[in-house]
Amino acid sequence: MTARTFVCRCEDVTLTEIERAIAAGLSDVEEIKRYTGLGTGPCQGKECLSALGRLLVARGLISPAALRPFTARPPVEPVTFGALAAGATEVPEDPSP
Amino acid sequence: MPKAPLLAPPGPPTLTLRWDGAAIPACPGDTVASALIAAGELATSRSAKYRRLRGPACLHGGCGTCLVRVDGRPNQRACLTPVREDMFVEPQNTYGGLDPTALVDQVFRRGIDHHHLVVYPRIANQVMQGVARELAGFGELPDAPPAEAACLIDHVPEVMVIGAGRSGRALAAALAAAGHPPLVVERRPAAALAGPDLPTDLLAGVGVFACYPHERLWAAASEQPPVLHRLRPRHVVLAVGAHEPTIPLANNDLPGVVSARGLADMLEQTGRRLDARVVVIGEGARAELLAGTLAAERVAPAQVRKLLGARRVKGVQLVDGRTLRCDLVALAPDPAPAFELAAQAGAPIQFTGAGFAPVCDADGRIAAGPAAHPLEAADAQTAPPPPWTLWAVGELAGATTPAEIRGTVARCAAALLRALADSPAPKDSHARA
Amino acid sequence: MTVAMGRADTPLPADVDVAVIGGGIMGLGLAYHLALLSGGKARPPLSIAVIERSYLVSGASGRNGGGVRMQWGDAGNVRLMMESIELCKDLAQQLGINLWFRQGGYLFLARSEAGERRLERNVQLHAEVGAPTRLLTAAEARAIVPQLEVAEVRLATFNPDDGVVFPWAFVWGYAARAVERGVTLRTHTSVVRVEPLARGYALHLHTGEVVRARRVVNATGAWSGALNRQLGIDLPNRPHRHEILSSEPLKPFLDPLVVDLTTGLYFSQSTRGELVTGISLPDAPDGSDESLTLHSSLRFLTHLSATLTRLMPITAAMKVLRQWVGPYDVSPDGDAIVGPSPGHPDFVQVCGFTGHGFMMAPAVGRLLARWLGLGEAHPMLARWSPDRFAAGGVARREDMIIG
Repeated sequence: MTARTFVCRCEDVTLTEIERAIAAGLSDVEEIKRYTGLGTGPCQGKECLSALGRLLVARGLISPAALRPFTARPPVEPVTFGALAAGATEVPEDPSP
Repeated sequence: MPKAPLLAPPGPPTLTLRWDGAAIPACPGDTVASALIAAGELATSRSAKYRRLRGPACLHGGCGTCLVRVDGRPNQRACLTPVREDMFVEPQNTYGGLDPTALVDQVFRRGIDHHHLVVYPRIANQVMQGVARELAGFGELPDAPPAEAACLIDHVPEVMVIGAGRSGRALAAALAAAGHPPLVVERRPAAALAGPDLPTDLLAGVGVFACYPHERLWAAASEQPPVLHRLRPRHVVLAVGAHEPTIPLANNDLPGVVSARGLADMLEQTGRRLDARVVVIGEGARAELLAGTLAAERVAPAQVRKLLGARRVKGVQLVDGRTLRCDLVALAPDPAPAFELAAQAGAPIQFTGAGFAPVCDADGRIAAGPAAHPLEAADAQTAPPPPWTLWAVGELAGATTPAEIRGTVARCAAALLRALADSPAPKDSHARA
Repeated sequence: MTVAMGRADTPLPADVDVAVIGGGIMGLGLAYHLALLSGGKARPPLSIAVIERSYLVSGASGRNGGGVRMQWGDAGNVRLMMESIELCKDLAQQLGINLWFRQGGYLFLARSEAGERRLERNVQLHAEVGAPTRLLTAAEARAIVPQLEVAEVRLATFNPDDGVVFPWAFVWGYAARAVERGVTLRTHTSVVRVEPLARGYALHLHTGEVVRARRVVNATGAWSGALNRQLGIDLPNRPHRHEILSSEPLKPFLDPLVVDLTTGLYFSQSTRGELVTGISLPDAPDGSDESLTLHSSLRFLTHLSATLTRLMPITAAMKVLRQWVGPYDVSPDGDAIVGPSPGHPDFVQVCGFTGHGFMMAPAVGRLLARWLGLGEAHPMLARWSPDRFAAGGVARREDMIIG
């Protein structure tokens, strides 16, 4: 089996892919997320975001003070459409014209 | 083929779960993940792109690779799902016994660049997109919608504590002792929360999934039964701990590569004992402590050339040429604080060297600050001042050792009680709407 | 293969022929097509700079659902989108990047008599224009999406040529090809002041740099009003929050993008398997103006979930993965605002696309470049003229705007 080093296992983003993105000129966490897909899978970055941050700082691409996480979008825990439906206050009951 | 067990049970197994057709013995207190690992079943899915086998890793509900189908519901976290008698658990995205990894390795030796993969000619591009679509996605559609009707519960607690781990429980106990028992919300189910110090007012199996400052509420939910909780507390204590980030090592995704902390906690919670060779990879006092707990040899990440194995981890090859044979590899990285809810609540976020954390004072009080996203920063100005005070304890407040964690809890409890004394709750507080 | 996503330190020329403000799909699509022409008929070659205040795909181009359809209520829009969809077919090869364009069709559902009439009118119109839209019964709609609860559905339409794309790659693809052809792309840089000169404009950047441009294109969409106001240009387009979410990724089960006309609910399944879905959300109960804010809301989640689980009950057991917000740039008649600004002929608007700019961009970028570079007219340009509002009154309003 080919040895591969993963930074984001949800989306199968390897260290090589991060390095390729960096070589293409990306150094911003939001840019790298979008280009590689890192942090967009089921865990939403819980496993990979800080690993990416450490890597960017270790390579001198950004200072720790300037480093920002990507937006922590809801939900941070899984939630079903079924449970959410209970909170609706303006359900369209009947089709209106 | 039956596999060698890796975790000894605390007593005779009294439960059975169905895993991919086979019967797996389990004990009360087991999660699906602990029962599977105990039975040597380490792989639960194949990955999205490289089609590699994956299994339970963080053992803490924080990663995305232990997702299994449970009784017809896709993408359930094996590490947070308690075992029930005769539950039907299936792997996902595996295509039976086929092993496509070798093919992928041969064709994509240097990796898959999905943006530039088979762009030309157009006809090949269309075929590739069709294949990619079939390979993508994890679970299949659920068998059926939930049988129970969903319901909505509103809460107006004086103090809400998010997380019933060590720091959350200690803080809740300190507040309760002073006459202010908080509402504690914990994503793990009650079955996984044994212990004498459980808070009296506890919502277990309920995950706080967001803070919506503009709507002045926090939202939480459980899946079964489907319940949505809206919480409007006066004080919020984040006792949410930390994530275990991955350590970038070759083959760090093999089934059997788990979090050292997750494994230690799982053993404590289930009463199971290790019956396997474990190598801990990590540096510093915390890694040393975890290696001691797991009675494992420890090596630093820099010593490791790669992890060995194909369908599961079998050893650690070191840069000095030695090979350490093992059944499980336990990663002990510096933990990364679970900053997400704090960020949603408007906390200023900084990089600590290990990960991201909210800026808080010595008592754990978090002041509001600008949002991180360049285009979303404007929102911080449009949000009304929050109706709650936000606090952090434990690892989120920068503590790493048990003593430091106790310190953050003690200081936060004292400051919070002062704040409650200075500004007593209105009469209708702590009522459930 | 080129990857060019712009940098904060790319040197900017002091003088350019065309400065495009806004590195979204409109700005970059236009720059790409202008650069294509620049080597050909439009001599001498144009110098072009695109200035983006954040990273590529940070704005509406990176926040939309990626739907591409020719099912519109007006012949001009149907024709334009037929052209756009035709262009999408080999755009990946042109831009050298996977766009994940999948023609699974759009399925419109009508649950009211008024909706039924709209769909009937559309099918007739589409037939006249040559778009392959057909009327379906509720049962036929259910044959396409077996999970639908169709008891309330009175009529449906389906167009098999409509589809979905992965939006970000369009922006990166246009950027890479534009840069290859000499366009300067500067990201992470704000234009803080626009100063009119005798010929053209001076753009003052937050870095202290100044770029003089013979012509300026305002391609900042929902953010365009602030720039326009600096020059006293008063246009009626306004930003509008639109929320959207994606679900956990599941194996493919849904081919078309489904739209419920009554509620404005839409959902499709992306190549990665996520359900991507949004809805027309009634105005906030407190009437607060949150038009340009990008925070997500629980109100959206619950409203969407109640509507979605009613139309497709199996989704009640599916989970939400991520929610976010993107701005629509809404014009009063639903038509774009494109062309020379009133009183400022060299300050060109490419705005007001009202939530459907992304799908129109492949066709729009080309026609705009031919107009700016060669002076070539296009029937849509008269309709999109920024001058139309001065006359007062809105002639028609596109009624197939979703979300």
